[in-house]
Amino acid sequence: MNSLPVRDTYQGKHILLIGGSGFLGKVWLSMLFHTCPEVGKVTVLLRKKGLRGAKRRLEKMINESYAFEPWHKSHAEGLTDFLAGRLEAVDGDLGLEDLGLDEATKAQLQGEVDLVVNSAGLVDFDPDPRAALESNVEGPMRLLDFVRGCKKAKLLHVSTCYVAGNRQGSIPEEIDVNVSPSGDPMDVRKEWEEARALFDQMALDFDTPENHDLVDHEVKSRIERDGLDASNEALVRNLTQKVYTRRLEKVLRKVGMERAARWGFPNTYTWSKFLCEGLMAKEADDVEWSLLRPSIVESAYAYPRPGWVEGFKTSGPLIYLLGTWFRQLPARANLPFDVIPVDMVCQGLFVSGAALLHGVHHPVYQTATSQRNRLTIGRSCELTALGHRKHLRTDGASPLERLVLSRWDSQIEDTEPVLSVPNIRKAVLGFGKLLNKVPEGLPGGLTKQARNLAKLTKSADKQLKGVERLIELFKPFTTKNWQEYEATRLNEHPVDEEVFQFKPEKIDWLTYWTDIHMPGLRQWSFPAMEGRSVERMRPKNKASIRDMVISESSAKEGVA
Amino acid sequence: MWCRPLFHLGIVRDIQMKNTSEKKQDVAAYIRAEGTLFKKGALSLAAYLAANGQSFSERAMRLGQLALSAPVLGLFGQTDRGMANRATYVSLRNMSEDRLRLLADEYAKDVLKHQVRKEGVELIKRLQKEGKKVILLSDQLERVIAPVVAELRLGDVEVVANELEIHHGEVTGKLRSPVIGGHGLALWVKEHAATSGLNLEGSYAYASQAPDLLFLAAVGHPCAVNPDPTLRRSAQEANWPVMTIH
Repeated sequence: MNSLPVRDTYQGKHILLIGGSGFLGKVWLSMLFHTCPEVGKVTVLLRKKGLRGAKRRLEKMINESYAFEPWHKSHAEGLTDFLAGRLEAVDGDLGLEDLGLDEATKAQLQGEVDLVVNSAGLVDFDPDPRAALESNVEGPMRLLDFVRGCKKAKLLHVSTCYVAGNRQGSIPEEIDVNVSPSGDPMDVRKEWEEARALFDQMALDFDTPENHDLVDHEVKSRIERDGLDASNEALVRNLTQKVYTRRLEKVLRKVGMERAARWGFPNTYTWSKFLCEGLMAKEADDVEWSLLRPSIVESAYAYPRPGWVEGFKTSGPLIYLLGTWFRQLPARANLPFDVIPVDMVCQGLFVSGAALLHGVHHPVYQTATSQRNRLTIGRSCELTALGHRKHLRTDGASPLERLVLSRWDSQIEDTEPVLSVPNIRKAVLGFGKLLNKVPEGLPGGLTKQARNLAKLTKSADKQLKGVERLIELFKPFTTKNWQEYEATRLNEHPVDEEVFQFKPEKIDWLTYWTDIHMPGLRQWSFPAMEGRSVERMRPKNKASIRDMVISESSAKEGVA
Repeated sequence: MWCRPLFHLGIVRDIQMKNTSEKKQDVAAYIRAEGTLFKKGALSLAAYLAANGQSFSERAMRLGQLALSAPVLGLFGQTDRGMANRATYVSLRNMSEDRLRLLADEYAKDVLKHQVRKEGVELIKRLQKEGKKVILLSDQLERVIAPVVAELRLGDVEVVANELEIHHGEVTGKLRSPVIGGHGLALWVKEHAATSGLNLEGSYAYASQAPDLLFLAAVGHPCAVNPDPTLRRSAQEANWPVMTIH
């Protein structure tokens, strides 16, 4: 079999990247110029954020995110010149018709682009289902329409392995468009339209006097509690809107999760991604496309630097939790925990993109580890304990952390432990109630102390509630589904260039987890969880991007 | 008979030098690390590993098991060190390989590194200066010994240490052959000398425990280092040199 010349394939090609501000998108964009400097041009479509347009956003990203550190190291003050004519940003939004592009820009891109890479999406597990449909279904459908209008562009869409829902066993690199994971027949278009209609109707139905009364009541009590100025109309209006939206979303989130569960999905996110895949498979045979399904995308193995991560990835909150005094995680030790470093997913994107450009692609590729180098929940829990041990023994903040917490290893409990979070919550709340019943006027300020302690139990309960929610959200991963994702399709394209070779076998989990992943989380993820600022890159020379140049012919075409 | 590949420090240099100095290397010094180079042995290592299991109950179980094997250690410690070592490491059964690796690194860095006999280091350097090939034999684990020896910058030292058998990512509690410390060590030395082209008659051996008598007797120049009473008596009767080092 001939090998796939990945670097040569991207040479001179024009790529449109959607989702370039996301974790995966950033690393891929950075790797693209680092490994294929001969790539023709990359246009990054970004939404305007406040007053900051796409160009400013992309510049900020390049100059502040460690994802782009290798660029600064390689080009230093010459980075702006290197990027000139190669990288451009365009204001756009998958939520708008024609991606929010003006006619001339649209015409130019549709005429020039060779490959569209879409790594955008809403990855919250239980979001407002309307937002999930918007980002994960309707946006990609608009993008598909855009690609249909292109002269030569092909579409590489990033999905997730977890579209498998609650299926058990080996998950092949295939799309099953007609049957949901619950085993029930599903018409994806009908499901999308019905769900959209239902959620929109629910949003309308929520607009009742009773709900407004409840909102007003909550706003009033919050103003009193926080000592806000009730005469400030703008403040009251904003707060009312906020409370109303939160209440509506709470209702919709629950309905979304229930609907997803009925079809055999662990959450709204995977349900919406499944719908998108199904729609592409059923309705996009006029476009050349391919799907890449990563499993749980985690910190970088090597590129842009070992351990680099952004935001809260799946394992982050759990690892953080297991570094506290919380010890027993309700989970099944033998379940595969399919984690894949972000740069390995990028290798998958490079290879599948090159295969797509050559027209030798498969419809689906999975970048996962459970089949070829399995990590289990039990092992990841022990590795987490070992990683915390390693860190706390030398860098613990207090003797208690260095001597005791470092040896306070977390472990998996198959059955609900006696000291489970719900039980601890009950005990804490009960204790708080007792303290509140302490009679007035006890000597030595005991009453006051009891009341103060009761307040503390309230805040402890709030934190425990967060932990409980976290454990509940992760239950599909930690307690329910035994899934092994096949990941062999990528290797059906032999690649000579080592930098693009997808080799999950090379991960030594102990080294990755304790020396790469966890230190990365400590540096870039935990500070955000603790409300501290996250370290940003400060290069000596800031790079800038030139404005997109619209050719005369595109401008004319746009006007026409 | 024993075919486990040996861990060899400074192997690149060894290959480079092989052609030019093969004749100079034909005399070896076999050194039992415990007593000569390190103040602590396998029991201390096993206790450290056992005390740092995942759960508190696991730690208690492993330490209890180790304590229960104390009579076995007492009984065999002076007769069959190989059996004693086996009994010691059984307490680590079902420990994950990940934990073993991490704790072994920890032990090497935090404990064993500080238990090195300075005069033992000097002895090794002197033997190397004299052109002897140094083979360090330890009944502790290879992954504990190797980093410490590397850090001591002892140059071209061949380290042969015990290794735990791993199955599906867990320690089985068994030691892989050859079990360092047993009576079979004498036979291993003979085979090693034969395959490495070493002159056993002209070679040296250093040990401090009575069960190493056969091992010491296998070479032309045995030496008891900080010997226990049984070995001291035997060495005196055999007219072997006795060294005391710190």
